[in-house]
Amino acid sequence: MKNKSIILLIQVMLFTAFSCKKTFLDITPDSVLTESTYFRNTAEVEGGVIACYDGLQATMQFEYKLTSLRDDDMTPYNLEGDWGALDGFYESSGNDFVRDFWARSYNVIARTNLVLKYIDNVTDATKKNTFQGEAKFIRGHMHFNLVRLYGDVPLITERIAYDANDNFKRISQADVYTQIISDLQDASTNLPATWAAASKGRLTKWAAKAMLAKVYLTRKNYAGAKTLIDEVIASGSYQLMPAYADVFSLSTELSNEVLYAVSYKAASNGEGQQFTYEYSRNGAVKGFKPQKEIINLIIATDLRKATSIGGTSSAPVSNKFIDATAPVRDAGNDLIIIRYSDVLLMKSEINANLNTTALGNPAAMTTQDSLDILAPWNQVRARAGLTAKKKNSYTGLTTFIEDLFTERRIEFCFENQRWYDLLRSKTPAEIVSIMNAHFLFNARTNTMQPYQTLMPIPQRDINLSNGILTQNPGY
Amino acid sequence: MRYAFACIVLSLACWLLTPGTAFAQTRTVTGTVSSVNDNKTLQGSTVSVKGKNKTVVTDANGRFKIEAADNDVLVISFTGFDIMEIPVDKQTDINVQLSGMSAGLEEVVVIGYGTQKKSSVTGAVGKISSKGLNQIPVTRADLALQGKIAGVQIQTIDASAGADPRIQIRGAASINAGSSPLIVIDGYPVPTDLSSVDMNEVQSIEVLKDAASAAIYGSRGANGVILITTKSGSAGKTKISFNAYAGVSNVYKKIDFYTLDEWAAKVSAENNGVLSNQILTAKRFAVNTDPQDVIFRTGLSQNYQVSARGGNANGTKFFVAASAQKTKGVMITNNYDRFSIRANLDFKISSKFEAGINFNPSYAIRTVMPIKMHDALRTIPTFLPLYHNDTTSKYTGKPVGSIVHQRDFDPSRNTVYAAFGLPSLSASSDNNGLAQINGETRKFYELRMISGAYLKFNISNSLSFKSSVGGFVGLREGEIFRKSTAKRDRILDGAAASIATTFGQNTKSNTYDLLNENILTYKKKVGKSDFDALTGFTAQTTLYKNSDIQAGNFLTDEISTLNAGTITIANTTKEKNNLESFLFRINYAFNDKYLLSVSSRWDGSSRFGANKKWGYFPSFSAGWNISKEKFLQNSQLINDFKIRGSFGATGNNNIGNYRSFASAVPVAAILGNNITSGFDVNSYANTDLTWERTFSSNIGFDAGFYKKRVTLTMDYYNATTDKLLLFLPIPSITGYDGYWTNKGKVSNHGLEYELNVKAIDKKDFKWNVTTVGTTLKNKLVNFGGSEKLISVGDTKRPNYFLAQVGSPLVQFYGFQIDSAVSIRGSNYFPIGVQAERVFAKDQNKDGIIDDKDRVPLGTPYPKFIWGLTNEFTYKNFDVSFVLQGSHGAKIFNIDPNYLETQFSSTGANAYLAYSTTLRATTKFKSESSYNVQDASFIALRNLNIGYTFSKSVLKKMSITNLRIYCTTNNLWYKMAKNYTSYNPEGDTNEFGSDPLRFGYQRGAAPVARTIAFGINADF
Repeated sequence: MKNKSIILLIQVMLFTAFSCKKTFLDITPDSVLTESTYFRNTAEVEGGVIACYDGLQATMQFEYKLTSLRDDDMTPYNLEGDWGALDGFYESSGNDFVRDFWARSYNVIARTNLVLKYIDNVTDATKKNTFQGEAKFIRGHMHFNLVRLYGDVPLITERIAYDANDNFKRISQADVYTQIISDLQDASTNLPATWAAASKGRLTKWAAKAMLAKVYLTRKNYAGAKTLIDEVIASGSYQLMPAYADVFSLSTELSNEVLYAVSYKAASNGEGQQFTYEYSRNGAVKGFKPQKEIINLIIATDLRKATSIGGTSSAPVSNKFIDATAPVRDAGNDLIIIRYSDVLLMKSEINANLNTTALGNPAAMTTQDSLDILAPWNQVRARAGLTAKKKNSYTGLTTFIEDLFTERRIEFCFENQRWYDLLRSKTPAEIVSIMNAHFLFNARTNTMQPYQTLMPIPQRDINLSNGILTQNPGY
Repeated sequence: MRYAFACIVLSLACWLLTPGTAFAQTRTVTGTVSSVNDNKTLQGSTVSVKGKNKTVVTDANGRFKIEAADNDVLVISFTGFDIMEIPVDKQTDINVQLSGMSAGLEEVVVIGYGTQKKSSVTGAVGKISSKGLNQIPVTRADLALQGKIAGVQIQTIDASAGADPRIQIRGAASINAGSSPLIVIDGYPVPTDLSSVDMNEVQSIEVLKDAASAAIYGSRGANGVILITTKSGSAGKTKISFNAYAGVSNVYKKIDFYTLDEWAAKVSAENNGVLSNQILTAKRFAVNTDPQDVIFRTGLSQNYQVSARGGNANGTKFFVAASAQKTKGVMITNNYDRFSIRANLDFKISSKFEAGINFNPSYAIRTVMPIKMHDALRTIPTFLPLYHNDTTSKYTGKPVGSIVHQRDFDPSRNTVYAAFGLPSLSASSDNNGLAQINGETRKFYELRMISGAYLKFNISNSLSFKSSVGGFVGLREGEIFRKSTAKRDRILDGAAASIATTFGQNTKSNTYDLLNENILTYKKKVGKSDFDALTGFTAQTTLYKNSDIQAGNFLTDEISTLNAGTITIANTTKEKNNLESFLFRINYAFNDKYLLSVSSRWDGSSRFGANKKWGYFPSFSAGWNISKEKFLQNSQLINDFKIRGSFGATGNNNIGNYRSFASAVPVAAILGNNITSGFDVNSYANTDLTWERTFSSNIGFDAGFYKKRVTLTMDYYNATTDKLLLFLPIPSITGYDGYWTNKGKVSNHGLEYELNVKAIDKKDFKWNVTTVGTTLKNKLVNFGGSEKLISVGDTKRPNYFLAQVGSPLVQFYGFQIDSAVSIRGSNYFPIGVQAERVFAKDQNKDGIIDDKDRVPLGTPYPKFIWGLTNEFTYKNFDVSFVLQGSHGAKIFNIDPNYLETQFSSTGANAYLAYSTTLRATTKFKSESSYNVQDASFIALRNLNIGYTFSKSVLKKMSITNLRIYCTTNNLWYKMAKNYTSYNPEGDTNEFGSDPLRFGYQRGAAPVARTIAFGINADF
C-alpha cells in the first residue's frame, strides 16, 4: 500500500511536469513581435519603412550638435562639457555627442537594410519600388551625413551580424559617395512624385533628386547636379512661401517649399523633438546664442531677421523653432532638410560654376545666363525684401560664390547647413581661419586645428572593433 | 520554509517517540516544550523524571506525556539549550520554555526546502534570529541586517525614507544579469524585495552564501539566497504581543556654506580688498539663507505592531499580526507609510495529513522629493532671502512674499531688474528649489499580497510528501504631478511657457506570480547513518503588466489627475516569465562525524533561447566534525570543531524577458501630421542564449572553545562566473549597442569570519560580542574578447568608467590632478565659486595632456566590510550596539561641481587667465580625480538601551513581559575626510541599470540620525 502510493505520487509529479513542458517554456513576447515572424508581406515591410522614418526623427533632431554647434553662427550660453567642447573645438574622441550621432545614424542604416532584406516579400510591385526607394534614400542620406562629418566611414549596405568585423573597416570617401549616389539614383527612379495627404512627408523623387544634386555639388559634379535641379524646378511642384516666417510656422508645415523635412508632433506619444527646448533659454545649456557676426550680417531691413533672431539684445535666441505650448523636450516643429530656396540657390551655384565665362564678363552676360545664374538667387532675395543682384554685380566666380554662400548662411541660419556649406566650399585651412577669426572676434581663446574639419571616430567603437576601425589623424 | 520544517519534524517524530513506562502511584502529566527565543516548539526534547529511570521525548508539536508524582521533578533538555528542572506539584499540563545557548553550534538552520542542524551544515549559511532587529528604527527589514552577517553587504544607496537598499552577497558576480540575491519568504521565491516584510513578524533570516547551499535554488542562486522565515503559532496559551516605538530623526551631517559676509571677507583678503560688483550688489539685500534649513526638517517615525500566537493540542497553530508604520523623512515631502497584516495558520487534519495557509497583504505609500539634493541646494541662493521682501520686491517687481528665484536678479531675464543696471546675481535659470519641490508631487502606492497554502501527506514515519502553492500579487502605482509654478514663473516667463511645463504621469507596474511545489522528503536513521533526502518538482509563472500615461498642458494647478491635461503618452505592455524545475538533495551523516551533501537542480526557463532552455546545477559538500573524534572529545579548550568544504554550480537568469529574440517593437513616425505605426527590430536574436553559471568553492570551519563561550566560523570563498549573460557591447556600426550572449568571466574571492564571545556570563551580568567581516576581491577575467571598455557618464560634466580585463569590474577613470586652476583675479562670484578645471598630470610624459593620460582612479567596491555587535545585560537593564564599517570603496561624487556653482562664467573661464600652452594642460574637474572620493565609513547603526520589568511586578497586571527601551540609528557616523556629501553609500543610479557605470553619486539623500523610544509587551 505504502509503496503503491509513492509510485502513484511520483507518477503524478512526473506527469504534471512533462505534460506542460512544451508550451510552458516556449512562450513568445506579448507586447512585441519578433524579426523571425515579421516582414512577411507588403503591410509588414511597410511597417519597417515607417521604422526608418521613426529612426530619422530620432536621429536628425540631434544633428545640430555636430553642425550648428560646430559652426560660427551660434554658441551655447553655458559652455559645459561636451557642448562646450564641440563648440570650442576641444572635443576628444570620447565626446558622447560624437558617438551618439554616429550610433543613431548607423541605427537608421540598419533599419533601411532590414527593409531591403525583406523587400521581396512585398507583393505589390509599385509599393515594392517605393519602399526600396525610401529605404535607399534614407540610407544614402545617413551615409552622406557620416561621410561629410567623419570622412572615411564604414559603409553598411546589408543587415550585418554583430561580429561582422569586415564591415567595420573604413571605406574611402570616394567609394562611400559612389554608394550614396547609387542609392539616391535608385530612390529618384523608384519614388513617387507625390503622396496622398495622409502620407505627406514621405519621400518623393523630387526630394531624391534635390538630395542627389546636393551630393553632386559636394563632389563638384556641377553637370550632374544641373540636370537634377532643372528637373526639380521644371516639375512645378515647389515654390517659395510668400513669407519667410511661414516656412517655420507650425501651422504651415510641409508647405510647397519643403522637399524634405523630418516631421515631429508635440505631445503625441513621444513623437516630438528636443531641439526646440534646447534652443530656448530653458535648455540644458540655457539656449544657443546667435553670434554677433550673423546678427550683423542680417541687415535690419531683411525680412528674415525677425524669424532668425529673437530674444533681447543682451540675450538673443533664434525664433525659427518656437512651439509655445509644447511640453518640455517634446515640440512639434519639423526639421527641414531641403527646401525650395535651397534648390534655387543650388541652381545659381551650379550655373555659375558651369558658366564662369559669363560671370567673368558681365557685359556679355546673356538674358539666359542671367536667368540661370542670378534669377534663382534673386527669387530668394526678393522674398527677403532685398534688392536683386544684377548682371554687373560680379566680375568673377570667387566673389560670386562668396556672396552666394553668405546668402545661404543667412537664409539657412541655424538650419544645420552652415557647417556642411563650409566643408564643401572651403579648404580646411580656410575653415580654420574662419573659425579662429570667429573666436578672436568674440574674445574667445579657443582655436581650431585643420584636422578638426572631421569629427573624431567614436572611441567606443574603435575599442570594440578588434583593431579594425581607425581614428582620424589628430585625435 | 516553515512547511518544510514541519515535514522534517513529522518524519523525525515517528522514530523519536518512545512510549514511557507507567508507575502505579503516579498520574499522567502532559506539557509542551518550546524555545524561549522564538516560541517554536521543540520536537525531540528529552523529558525525564529526576532520579527515576523514566524518559520521554516530545513529539512534533513539542508535546510530551509522562507519568509522574506531585513531588517529582521533571528534567527537560534539548541539544543547544540550557537544561531545566521543573517541580510537578499539582500541575497537569506544564508549558516549559527552554533558553537557547545563543550562537551555539546546535542550532537548527533553515536551508533551501528544509532545515538542518547547524552542526551538520556543510555549506556556508549565515543566520540571524529576529532578536532585537525589530527595535532598530529603520523603515525596512533589510536595513536592520546591516553589519550582522558576514559576506552580506547591505548598502543604503538611497537614504530617503522607504527606499530600497542594494543587497549583495559576496560581491558582484554578474555584469548584466544583476547581483541581487534571491528572496525566499517562507519557502516562496518571490519576485520582489524585502520592503513589505515587517521585522516583528520575522522568526529568522538565513543567507545561503556558497554554491553548495544555494544550488538547490539552481538558476537563481548565483547571487546567494536570503531565506526569511516568519513566525508561526505554538501550542499553549495564546500569547499577545505589542511592540511599538516612536522617535525623531535629523540629518546627520550638514555642509557648511559660505555666508555672504564670509565670502566677501575671503574675496577681499585674496583680491587685495577688491570686491566684485556682484558681491557689492548682493550686499544690498544682506540676507543669508542656508538652503539646508529649507530642505531639511525633523523627521518622525512610528511603528506599531500587535500580534497573537497560539494553538491547541490538536496541532492547530496560528500567528496573526497587524502592523503600521509611519515615517516622516528628514527631507521635505519625503514620507513613507506602510500597513500590513499577516496570518499564518497550520492545521493537523489527521495523523497522515497536515495543511496550512498564510496570508500577508501590505500597503505602502511613499512620497519623494521631486528634485535631488544637488538641485535643491544650487537653486536656493545662499545670498538672497527665500521670500521676496520689500527691498528685493522693489528691484525685481516680484510680489512681496513670493519665492525668490535667482533669475529674478538676471537682467537678461527680468526687465524690472534690468532697469536698475545692476549685474546678474543669477547662477541658475531654474526656479528656486523650494518652488520646484512645492510645485511637484511624486507619490508611489504599492499593494502587495504574499499568500500560500500547503498540504502535507505523511506517508510513513520517514517519508512525506508536500504540495504547496504560492501566489504573489504586487500592484505598484506611481503618480507625478508638476504644477505650472514648479519650473517656470508666470511673471518672468508668462502663462503659456509656465503651462507648457506642467506634467502629469501615472505608471502602473503589476506583478502576478504563481508557484507550485511538490516535494517528497525521506528521513531515516539506520544504525549510525543519518539520511535526509528530498526530491521534487516546481513550476513558477510570473506575469508583468505595465502601463504609463503622461499628460501635459494642464490649464489648472488644482487638479492633479490626468483628465485635466492633454494626454501625451499612453502605453501598456505585458511580459511573462516561466520557470520549471526538478530538484534533488541528499544529506548524509555518519555518526554525526562525517557529513556529506549532494544536491542537484534542473531548471528550465522561458527566458532563454529555443535551443538552450534547460540548465543543470549540481553541488557537493562535505564536513568532518573533528571534535567528535576521540582525541578531541575530552578537550577542555576545544568543544566543537568542524571543517567543511563545498563546490557547486549556480545560475543566474535575471536578464529580463525575451532577450533571445530579435524583438520587433512598435514604433511610430509622424507622417501627414499623424502618428503612423510601424515596427523596428531593435536587437539581434540569439537562440543559444542560456544560463550564466557561477562555480564556487568554499572552505571553512566552525569552532567552539571554552565550553562554547567562544565560537569562530571562518570561510574562504572563491566564485567564478563564466558564460556571463552579457549585453556584449558591439560597435554601433551594426546599428545596435550590444548583443545578448554568454561571454565573459568575473571572479570574486575573499575571506569571511564570524566570531562570538560570551565575555561575561554571570547571572546578573552578561556581555556578548559578535563580530563579522569579509574581504572582497573582484576581477573581470574575460570581457567577451575586448580588452577594455570606457563608458562615459554625464555629457555636461563628463566622467569615465573603465571596465578592463584583469581589474575590478568597474573602475573610475580619468586624469590625476596636478594642481588647481586659480580663480584669483576673476570676480569671485557667485558664492563659493571655484574653477571648473584643473591642471592634469602628464602620466605618459609625452608633453601633452590627452586621453592617453587617463588612469584608473579607484573602484566602487569595498575591500573589507565588517560589523560588530555588543550586548550587555545587567540585572533588568540591557544595552546593545551595532557598529558597521566599509573600507576601500570609492564613490564618484559630482555634488561639489554643482555646489561650487562653477559653471558661472567665473568658474568656467578661470583657466583662460593662463597661457595657451598651460590651458591645453587643463581638464574638467569631472574628468579628473577631483570627484573620486573615499566612500569608507564606520557607522553606529544601532544603540539600544532597555529595561525589563521584574516578573513579580508584572504579574499583578497580568503582563508576562514588559520592556521599555531607547533606540537609535546612526547616532554616530564616521565618514572619510575627503568625502564631502551626505551619504558615502549613496549611488544615485544615474545611468539606469548600466552595471558598467556604477558608483556615481549626484544629489544623494542625507543619512538620518534617529532616536526613538519603544516598548515590548507580552500578555
